[in-house]
Amino acid sequence: MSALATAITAALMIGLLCGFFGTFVVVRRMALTGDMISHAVLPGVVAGLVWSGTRNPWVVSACAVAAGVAGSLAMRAILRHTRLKPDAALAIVLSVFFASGVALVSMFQPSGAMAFLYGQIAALDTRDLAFLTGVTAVTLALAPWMFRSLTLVSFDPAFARILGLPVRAIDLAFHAALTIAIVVAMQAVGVVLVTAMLVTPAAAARFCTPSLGRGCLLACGLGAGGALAGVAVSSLRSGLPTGPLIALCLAVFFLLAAACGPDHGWLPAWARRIKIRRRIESEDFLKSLWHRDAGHAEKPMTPSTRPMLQRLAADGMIASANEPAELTARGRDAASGLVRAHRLWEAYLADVADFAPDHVHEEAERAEHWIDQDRMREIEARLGKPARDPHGSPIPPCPSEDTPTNERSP
Amino acid sequence: MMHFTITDFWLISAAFFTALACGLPGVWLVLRRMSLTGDAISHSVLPGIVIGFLASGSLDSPWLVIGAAACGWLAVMGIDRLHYAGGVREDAATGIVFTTMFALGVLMMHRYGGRVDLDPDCVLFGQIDTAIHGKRVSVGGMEIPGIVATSGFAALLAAIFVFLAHHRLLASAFDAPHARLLARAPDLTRALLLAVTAAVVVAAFQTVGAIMTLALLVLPGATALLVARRMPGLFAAITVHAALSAVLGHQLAGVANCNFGAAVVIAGAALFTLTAVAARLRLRPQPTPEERANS
Repeated sequence: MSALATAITAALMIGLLCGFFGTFVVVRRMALTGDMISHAVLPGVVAGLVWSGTRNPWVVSACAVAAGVAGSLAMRAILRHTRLKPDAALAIVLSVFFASGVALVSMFQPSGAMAFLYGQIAALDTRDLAFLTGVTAVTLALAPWMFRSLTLVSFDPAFARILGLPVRAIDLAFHAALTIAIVVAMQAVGVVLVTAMLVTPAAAARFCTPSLGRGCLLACGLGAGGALAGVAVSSLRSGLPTGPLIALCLAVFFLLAAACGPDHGWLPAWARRIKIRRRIESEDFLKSLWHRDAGHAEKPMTPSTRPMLQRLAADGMIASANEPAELTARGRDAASGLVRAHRLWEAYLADVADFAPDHVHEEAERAEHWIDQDRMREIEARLGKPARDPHGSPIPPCPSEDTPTNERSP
Repeated sequence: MMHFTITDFWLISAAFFTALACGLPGVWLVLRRMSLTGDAISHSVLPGIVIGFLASGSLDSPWLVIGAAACGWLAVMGIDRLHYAGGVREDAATGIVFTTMFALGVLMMHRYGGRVDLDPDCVLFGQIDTAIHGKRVSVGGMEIPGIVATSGFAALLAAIFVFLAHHRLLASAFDAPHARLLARAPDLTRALLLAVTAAVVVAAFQTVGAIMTLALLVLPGATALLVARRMPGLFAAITVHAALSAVLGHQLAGVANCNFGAAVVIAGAALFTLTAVAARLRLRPQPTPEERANS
């Protein structure tokens, strides 16, 4: 197997593995615990390398898991016996265990330690690759089984306990499996950048879907894609380190997902905000046209813009996009629906919520854009079909049923 | 045991100054529960250090500090923006930002560091053993190694900062709204603290490397907080911890023949553990009756 083929296979596996575990690491807010584990396993890794002499991945992983457990126990001891906060305990365990690892490296100089510190994906041999494949295959085979209980334990451990799940055992197994995944991934990207492999794809997936299952699949895909992209870029030219390139490719994916992710990516959220603002401005304009037609000279006209007039004309709310705008029948229905919502809400606030009549207008200015037909009927029924709002203005009757303006989800 | 030479003296001084320089702002990070921001900064300054190094061609240039402080600021801003405006959880935001900056730094080091003596080993291990024999500077008519001068200067800077900004730090760490009422802008205090942290991290980088810098930031303060009950005692305890870790670390490095920075950190951790056990066994001064009545 050529070095490039090895690197590609390993990148794929590690991306899948880290995507899966990273999803839970992110939802459990364990990103920095993952960072701690990746540093805390170092003395174990070095001890395993020294002990086995031949870089046996089983021995190395076993020692690494032992060191990871020791790190977690040390952290627990610090939290229990001192008044230090979790961040300080985490920082102490992380840096001191790493220092012990560095001391061991400098004392024994085991071969292969550099791969764990810096990550050399192309230097993995067939045995490492077999181990990696085994770990990934077992994880992915068990994933559909583990998924449900892991989700339950991650989001609501108390409920999981009531259901009879062995919460503590599942937590322990998760930590052990995560430690093994970290040890494996360290060889590809190095001790510091494992955190990027775990956290970045999973955090990127959170922007794209609210579902944990789809997010997990997406994180696996992004992890594998980022790792492959890193390997590809580093193979373009000699002397480019793979680990940092993988981390940077993942960071680019993350930024793309954060910008364009359909769930709560920044650009879609921005577009939604603009759309809502436009709707509110148009509705305010329609309402002011209605007031003008009803002869309420004391109400100032809401300013209009050319694009707004064009949109309203296209929707058939006003006769043409030219000033002065004239409401169509449909526009009049929509506007009176808004006025109706406004005045009903004022009446509701004054009668039921006990607001002073001079305090309800501002509230109703906001609420009129969000109350749908059903809610209006409900309010009307509750107030006993009031004819007038607290200021004495008549509440317009329900417009014809097919008016679409207020049929929207809040 | 081998002879105690002048090199040993300089090694111990450099370690002591580095530990002190990190410990003084570090205790405020611990008190503010920002230890992991310290971790993020210690990794994120790497691109700034590389850029400063490439721009100036020397490891003792002020450009390194400026570049590092800028990158530290960028990282903290990035984490804040991702967290508050971007809707990413704080721990995940920290993990993403510092790994990205670190990756950028390592990449730049590989790409442009070939012709200069800045290598990735320095990032993980520190290079005090070689740096101690490096360029010498003359201070007050005495020839001292550049790294001792740098770390001593960093310690001086940190000491001046915590002395001058003491009330500001105290108010903003324990009661930010009150600090705002006193017109001691807590946000500015936080920014100053992080800038000083970035500056001392640059000094510590050469001594112990990026990751063990975190130990020097946290361990002296954490140990001192176990025993001290007043601010002056806290700073005295930090100084004692820094001095003892330097001396004991030097001994340990000699006995075990291991990396000097790692030995200093392990010695500091041993002191922390001993202090924690002693504090647990109530070997510390007991509270006076009126203190007990107040608690």
